[in-house]
Amino acid sequence: MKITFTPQLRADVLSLSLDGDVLTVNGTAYDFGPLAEGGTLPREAVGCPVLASDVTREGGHIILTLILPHGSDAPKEARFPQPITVTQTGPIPLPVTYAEEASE
Amino acid sequence: MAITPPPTPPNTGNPAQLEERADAFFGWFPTFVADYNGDLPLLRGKTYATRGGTANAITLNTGGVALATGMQVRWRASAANTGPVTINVDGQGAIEARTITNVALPAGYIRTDADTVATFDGTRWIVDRQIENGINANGAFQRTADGTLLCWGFGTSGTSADTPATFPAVFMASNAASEIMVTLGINSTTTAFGMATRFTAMTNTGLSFAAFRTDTQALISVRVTFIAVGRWY
Repeated sequence: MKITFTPQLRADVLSLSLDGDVLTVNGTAYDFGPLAEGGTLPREAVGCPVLASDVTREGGHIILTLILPHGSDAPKEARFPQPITVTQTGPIPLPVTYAEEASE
Repeated sequence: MAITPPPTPPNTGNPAQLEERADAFFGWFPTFVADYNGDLPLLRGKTYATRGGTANAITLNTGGVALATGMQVRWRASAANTGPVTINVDGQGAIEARTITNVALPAGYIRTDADTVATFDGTRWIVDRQIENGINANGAFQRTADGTLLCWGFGTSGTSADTPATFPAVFMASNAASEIMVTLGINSTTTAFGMATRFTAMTNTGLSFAAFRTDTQALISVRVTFIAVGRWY
């Protein structure tokens, strides 16, 4: 799965995990298995609030763009995120997007 | 409140009134301490309070012993708030914080990259906020304490379909078409034909845009700029 991130200043957070063609976004699973090679699934049909593109399958890869929420203090890696290709099952590591709460 | 002036100090040159004036002078000190402590909250607002607590249940210590209407506290947060906030200053009790527009604090109102100043209005802490500017891969944004959000940026239009664009910051809008105002422009030196832009599918997170030749209505690839104005809370 090839994921492009489009950054946005907002208060929520993003968590992703992958299992085959099933992408779980903030706890909700989206199964792109039925999407055929060369096919396009319109963004509106997916109903994912952080999906920012249509979903396609090219060269066997599911390709999509997700909004990457970040805070006002986010580092450059979150403001200008790089696309990733994910093949392994499990949680998908994301850039640090908020300052960690420091102990007092 | 002004500090109560001291009585005439005792003076060995006036032994007849030495004890009487000494009693009065030393008796004035508790009044001085009370006066000083009463003004202390108003004197400490320009210094940093020692912060503690959590992102949404903030505790601050200024060294004061009471709250006073009009007093201010200043601190640098270690984490942005994630929702409504209470502030407990000098152990005087957790009190609700409000924005300068008198609503509960939205997530991200308190920042870690700028000082926060709160003023006690006698009932609540009114929290002010520095103007926030930032950039990311989708453009630039400015958020102000009154809830106004300004986003601007650009993208390249496509020749086969409308091009999706994500706002650099999310708007708060239950009806994006009515609550977010957008202006598009075309950055091009072309003089061979007229050009026009449009946007569609606008939500609180973005829109799709396109540019056309005005003579053939064909989609063209040009740099399209946008300015969007709305509210972030």
